[in-house]
Amino acid sequence: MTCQEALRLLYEVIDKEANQIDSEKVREHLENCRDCMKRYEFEAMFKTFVTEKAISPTKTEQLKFKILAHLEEGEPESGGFFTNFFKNKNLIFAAAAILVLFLVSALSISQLYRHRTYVYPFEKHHLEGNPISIMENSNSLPLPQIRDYLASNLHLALSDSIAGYQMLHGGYDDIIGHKYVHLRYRNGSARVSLFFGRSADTVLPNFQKAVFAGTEYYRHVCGDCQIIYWKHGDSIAMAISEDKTVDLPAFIASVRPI
Amino acid sequence: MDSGNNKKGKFEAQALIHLDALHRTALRMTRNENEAEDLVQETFLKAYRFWDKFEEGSNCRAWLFKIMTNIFINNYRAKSRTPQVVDLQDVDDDFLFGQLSALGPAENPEQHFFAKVFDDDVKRAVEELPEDFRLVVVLSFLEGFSYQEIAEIAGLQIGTVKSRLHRGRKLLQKALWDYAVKNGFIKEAAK
Repeated sequence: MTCQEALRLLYEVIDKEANQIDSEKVREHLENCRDCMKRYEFEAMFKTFVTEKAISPTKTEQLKFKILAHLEEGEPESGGFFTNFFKNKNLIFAAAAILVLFLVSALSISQLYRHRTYVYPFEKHHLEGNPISIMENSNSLPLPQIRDYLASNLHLALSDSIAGYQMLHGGYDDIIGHKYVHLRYRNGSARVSLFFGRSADTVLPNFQKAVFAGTEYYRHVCGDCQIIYWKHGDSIAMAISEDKTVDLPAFIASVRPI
Repeated sequence: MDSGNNKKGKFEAQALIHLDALHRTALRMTRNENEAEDLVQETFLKAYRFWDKFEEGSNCRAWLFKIMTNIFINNYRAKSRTPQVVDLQDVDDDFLFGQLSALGPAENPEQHFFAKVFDDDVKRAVEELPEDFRLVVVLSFLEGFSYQEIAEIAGLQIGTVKSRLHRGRKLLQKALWDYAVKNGFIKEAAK
């Protein structure tokens, strides 16, 4: 075996992917070739070095607890609603949306699950041109597509960056007929979720009416979580943040009608 | 059909034991602790929903990584979907080895180099790899998946896995060398 051949197999041998014959030939070559041996030793050392240094010690106990809690919530006896609901949602959206759904903060979550009477600001079966058909097996959508959709159907303009928050990802949801588009923004560790749909003309209890920069909105604060919804024509938008220091009214003022 | 508790117990024993592995990979891929937690959580909730599709006895860890990779690609990857162009023309395969060798054999430059580079610089170098390369490097280096497993997890041809891993290594070595020079651990050999 030549040095060139030995070096061609370098990474496959180090990654233990070379077949037995090749590995044996390389081993023989290395016994007789100091230069190649040094290179092999170096690359093996480099791999070990990166592997050791790039792994952060992780604290996952809390996360495990959260996941286990959600597994229970995600398996209602009576069918797919919550299973679908928890699909691709993070904890805060789930928790906040439950609040919006039920708006009975005095009841514990477990009690809430037993109640099937809920309020929802989005009208049923009233978001035209289901944009999900374009993407198979996924309720996430390319951001330009969401933007176009919101502009043409709900007459709202969304930009990539709102008050320092960057648009992360978004998608289309259909929860037992309540259809809406969601978008997620982030600024450092602070996050805001936006939801858009057709208005169900529902006045939600526990929300305080207020006005900011000419936009009339309704706000509800519960613990660290704040929820705002506001109407725009016959559509309705909702913003949720788990961080009560986020200036949601200023944020939503940047969502412009077209 | 499993009863709820039985399903949950099995899921905990077979799937949730891989939580740490998924979390450390999610950290390097999302580069953000909150995002990593969300990604891992979404992965497990999705895996739980499709638990009856998992074939018992097959590789649960690889199955979970495949789910996580799909969610990452769909929901978390950087906005720009322009192809990732990486110019490595002036970086030789033995770039780092060559640079260190040129420092002279007396001071054992490799050992010196590996001893001096900060842990954080290694993490940063991994995280700054373009996503396509980062994914295969992390799956190979951190998780020890085989080329075949990585191909299945990431939906790539084996040849693509090999070439991305090769180029990923070069990019890492170049970045670590640049950090070492910048931090003054290594005085760049006179050209």
